[in-house]
Amino acid sequence: MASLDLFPIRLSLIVATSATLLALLLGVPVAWWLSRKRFFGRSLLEVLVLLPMVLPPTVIGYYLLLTVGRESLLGRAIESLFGAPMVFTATAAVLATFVAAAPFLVRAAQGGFEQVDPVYEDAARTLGRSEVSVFFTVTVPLAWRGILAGTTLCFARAMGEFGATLMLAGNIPGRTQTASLAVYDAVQAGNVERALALSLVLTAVTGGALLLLTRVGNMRTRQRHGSV
Amino acid sequence: MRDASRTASSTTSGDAAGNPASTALNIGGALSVAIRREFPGYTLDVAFDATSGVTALLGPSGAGKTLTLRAIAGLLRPDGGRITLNNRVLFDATHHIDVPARDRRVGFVFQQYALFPHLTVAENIAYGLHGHPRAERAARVDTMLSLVGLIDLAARLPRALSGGQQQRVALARSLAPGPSLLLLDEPLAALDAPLRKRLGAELRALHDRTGVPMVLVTHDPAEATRIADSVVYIDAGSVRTQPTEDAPDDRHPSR
Repeated sequence: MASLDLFPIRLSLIVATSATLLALLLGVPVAWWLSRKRFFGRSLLEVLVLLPMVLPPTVIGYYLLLTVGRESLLGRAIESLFGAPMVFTATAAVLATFVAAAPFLVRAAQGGFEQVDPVYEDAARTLGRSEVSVFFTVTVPLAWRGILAGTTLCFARAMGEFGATLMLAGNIPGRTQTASLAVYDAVQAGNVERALALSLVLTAVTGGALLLLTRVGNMRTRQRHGSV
Repeated sequence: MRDASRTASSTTSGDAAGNPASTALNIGGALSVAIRREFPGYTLDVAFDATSGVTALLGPSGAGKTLTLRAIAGLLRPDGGRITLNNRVLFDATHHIDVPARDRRVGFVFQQYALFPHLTVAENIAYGLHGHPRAERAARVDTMLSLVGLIDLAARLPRALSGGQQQRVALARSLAPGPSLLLLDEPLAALDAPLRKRLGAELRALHDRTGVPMVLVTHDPAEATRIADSVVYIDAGSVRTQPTEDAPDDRHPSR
């Protein structure tokens, strides 16, 4: 057997990590907003955020194709701005993976924020801290368990993403073919060795990443365990 | 032990909806409050002045005492009225002034203390000193720790402390930034009877040492009398009457 082409694994890791970081950046504020504020259209936003969890990934991909595809208004704007379309690129894979996986982070982080008694935030305010400072020094440290759980779920979902990515980024070996797509291709082509090798490497890498995230959680717990 | 002097300049606030501030007597007190806030089925309508000493807001639970404290601290926005502290306007509905809680320099001791569970005692006390240089901050934390007699517990987490110790940390934390006023919401309610008496006296002593004006909420008339210089009686969301020696005992929560 020729040496295993690890490009799909590398691409999967890059895409999943980018999508997860993007989900942290955008999803955590949304989760906080949903947990703390009562505003008009809140239920609608909540449903909209969670919809990708229940929609078939192909439907998510199709909607994204309608939104940023070459025929769409946004797609044409992107094409004239960057000189190339976004669809069938690694960037498209990140976008599709982000939309499919971010709801898991929002959901868990929102639960984490709802566990934080607002009295701690009030106390911080009376001690002269700005809203941003309150968020990072009180709210996030007290909600970290939910945020970490959400990050883990989001990353796991991102590594396994298939349908939405296929629709928006295609299945181009060496360009947009992620690990899950490569395994599917290998099986279809009857290349059992490649399918097995990719699956095993993917399992080891993903398992390692999850182990790392779990250990971060345990470390925080031990470190903050009070002595009596 | 000192007697409550019964000279709180509270007003009955039947006309507080109009211009309540004008009806509140100003006897040179540190704090002047005249606020109104509508809730579904309930109206908070309170006007009183507090001196630079210790003032007790007395009344049954549900009377709006805590809401009043929250409004003074900037954690609850009244619909109308005015709040001034040492001639500084903290809130004025007619002039659209609403100083945010972080800029009011008003300390708050919450009923369950609300100590940050992820920070040590020292870190809790230092939390309000974020603008100060590191060395100054450490010195200030030490001063506050010795003020409340907890210097040995600096590295503990709040959950490793007794109720009385937690209360002292909450006091130290709120006093550390040097507030112009300290608000205390049922500061002794979470403690058992013998400790209540002792920490009540400590609270009084703390005021005498720091000189920071205090407004504390309680539903216990004896406690109010024991700790405070003056007493303001709040019931059903309004300042109703000047309290007398025996009045509060036969009152019932109307809400």
